[in-house]
Amino acid sequence: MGQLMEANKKNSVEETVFPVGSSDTGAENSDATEKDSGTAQKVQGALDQIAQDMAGVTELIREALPDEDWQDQTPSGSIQAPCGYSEVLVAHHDRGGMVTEEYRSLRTNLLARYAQERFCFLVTSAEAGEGKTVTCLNLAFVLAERVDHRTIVVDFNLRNSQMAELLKVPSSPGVADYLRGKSELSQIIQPTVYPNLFFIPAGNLEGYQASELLGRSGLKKLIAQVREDFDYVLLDTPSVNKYSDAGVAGLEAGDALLVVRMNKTRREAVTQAIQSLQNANINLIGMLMTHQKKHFFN
Amino acid sequence: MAEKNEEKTLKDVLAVIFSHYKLFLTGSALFMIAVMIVSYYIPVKYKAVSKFERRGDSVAESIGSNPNESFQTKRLTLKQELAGDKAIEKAIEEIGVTKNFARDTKGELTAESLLLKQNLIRDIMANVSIDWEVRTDQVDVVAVSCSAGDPKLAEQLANTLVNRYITWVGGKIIEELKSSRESLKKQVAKCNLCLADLNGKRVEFEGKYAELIVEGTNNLQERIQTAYADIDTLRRQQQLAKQKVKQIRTLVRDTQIKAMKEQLQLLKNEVDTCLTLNQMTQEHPKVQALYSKIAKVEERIKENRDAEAIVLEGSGNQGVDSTVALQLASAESEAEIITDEIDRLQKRITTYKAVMTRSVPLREEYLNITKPLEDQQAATKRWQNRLADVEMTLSTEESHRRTQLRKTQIAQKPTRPLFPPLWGIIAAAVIGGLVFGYGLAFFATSQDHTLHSPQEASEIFAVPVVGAISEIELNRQRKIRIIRQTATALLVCGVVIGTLGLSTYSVILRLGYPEKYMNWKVTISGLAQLPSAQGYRAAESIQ
Repeated sequence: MGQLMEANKKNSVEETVFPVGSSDTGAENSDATEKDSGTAQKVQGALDQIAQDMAGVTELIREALPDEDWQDQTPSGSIQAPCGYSEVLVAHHDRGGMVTEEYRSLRTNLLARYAQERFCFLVTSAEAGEGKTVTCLNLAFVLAERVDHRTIVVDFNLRNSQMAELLKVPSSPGVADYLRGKSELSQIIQPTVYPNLFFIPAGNLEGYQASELLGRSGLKKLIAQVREDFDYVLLDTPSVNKYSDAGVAGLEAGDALLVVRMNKTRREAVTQAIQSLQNANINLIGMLMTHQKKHFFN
Repeated sequence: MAEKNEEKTLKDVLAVIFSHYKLFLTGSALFMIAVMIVSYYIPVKYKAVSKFERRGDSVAESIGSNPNESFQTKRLTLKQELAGDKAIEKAIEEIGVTKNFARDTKGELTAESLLLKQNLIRDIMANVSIDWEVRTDQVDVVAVSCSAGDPKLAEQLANTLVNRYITWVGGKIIEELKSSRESLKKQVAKCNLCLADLNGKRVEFEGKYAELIVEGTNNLQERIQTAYADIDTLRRQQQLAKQKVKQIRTLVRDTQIKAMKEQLQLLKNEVDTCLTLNQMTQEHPKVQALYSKIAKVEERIKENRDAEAIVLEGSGNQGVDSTVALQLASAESEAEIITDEIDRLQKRITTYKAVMTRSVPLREEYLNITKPLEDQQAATKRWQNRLADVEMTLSTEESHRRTQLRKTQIAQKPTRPLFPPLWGIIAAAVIGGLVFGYGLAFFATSQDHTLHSPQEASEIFAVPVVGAISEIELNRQRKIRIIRQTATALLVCGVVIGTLGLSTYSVILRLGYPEKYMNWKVTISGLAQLPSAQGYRAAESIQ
């Protein structure tokens, strides 16, 4: 991070170019701004500094990536502009849509639980395929709408990483590389099209067992660092009933959000997941129901 | 994690159905199809009803049945006679059902045919029902219902059974009436003979004890009472007559005394004349004679005064008028007559009493003769009446007028089968299908342990639900899904609705419009016989 800070100092401050101000989101941002008006004056200086840092990070990333990739990920000014992200990331592609609004509602609920407006929790589920990764990314997108806060998504699903695939970015270097000591933190943090949103892919195991890597002390250091550097830290983990990875990451994160797929996940599995999280002394901040089908009877 | 345990509302039911509507619809449709297919293979039954009226006939009933047997026994007897195994056997032979049964060289049915025939009879017996409705005291209506797979057979069977029964009962009644007539004739002759014998006894007894028998005890009692009354009357008359006699006698005595007193005075005057004028002494014979006369007259006066009555005797009744004498005689005669009449009546009373004493046993003896005679007369009359009834009924039966059994309804060829009921099947299919579909949906719901709403998750796990995200479906995915679902739905619906419609149509035709069904079946069979179909089948057989 020190390198990042140096780079920020070297490069001139760049204007925020990400279009976070759509008609729908603009209203919410203004609401949020009004809500935070009591503290706005105090943090104004810090925000300016962060914005400068972000511009520096963007510049660094621009230098690191090939030109064509950079072009793909650079928004053209339109919310619906294609950027290569998967279409399931609706909070990016359809920012005025109903589902995005639901994610914003989720964001509001989560922020209400954290008075300091800083949190770090892992996103897990009872079983695989319940929408953890998509939820994690979409939630990160709506959190990124808060331009004065920095968000990072960490893919701790070392066994079956999908996040990089959804974001259409290389999956390494990432967490596994960091834990193996092959990469530094600054090397594994990847930018997104949002200046205040970052992403750490799962990385390459290179023959190591995921549980073995996660058991290393680097994990604690990694999480402590991102918690320090970012306001919102989302840790995408495998299903809690299947692997212990979530428990290991949760020990450092402290909180967990349990994703439950409606009409599919069995109650017994959810009960088991809750029990597992409680056994790991992880605070379950709540459940997020996904795949909701709305009809008259519900 | 306690689950809700509340009463199911309509909304819950609908929610169950809606949550598994595909299962519900598919299950319902499959059940309906299954019911239709099953009902298609249920053998149909046509029902034909023939009715006849059964009039009560005392003669026939007294001949044909036991009056003491119960209604149930009568019913069973009627069923046995009307639709028993023998009756049905003859009926099917008459109809010609057994005409095509295999026979041996002698023309007799083979063992297999006999077995087949027995089975057929048993089946028909099971499908024949008899309803006995009592309309009035005299009229019963018996309905014979025959059910069979062939409407014509049902019709023929009902009519044949009733016809045969009526004919059989008519013949039986004629035979029994003839037999009864003969026995009644003998009975009447026997009664007449007995009656003549009893009449002879009566005449003989009446001739012997005519008076005693003629007068009854009551009559004699009345006569005795009358005689007593007459005696009382006569006694009063006798008393009056006696008083009359007494009065007349008093009158006569007074008259006689007066006359004697006058005679005495004359005698005394004559004595005075003799003594005074004629200067006769006391001793003079004339005077003495006069004195003697006077003494006699005085004695006679004295006697008359003492006597209550006097007897008028000839010249002695001096001074008494003859009319008075006649009246006195008449009164005395009347009194004597009355006395005689009283005596006669008393004697009669004594006689009556004696007759009464003797008449009671005679009367009993007479009644012992006359009572059997009266009974015999009544019995004879009864037998004669019965004989007349029997002869009249016999003549009626012999002229085939059938007053006792009369056909009131001829069985018609049924146009629609009785069983299985069309609306019953449709109702069973619809209701059963809905229930079955709901059952499947309910089962699926009960086995579904997934979460269906954020509220449910929150209540079950006591963990706050921070959000609910709708299912993310991309346009491309949605299009593919819609196309796939539409195609699947169309295919499934087409197959299910087509199958259901075809099966329902065939069942409705088969049960509701059998003739159209037969035409339809012939058409289908005709299509199957087309050259192309034949060629296809030939190709299939070669393969």
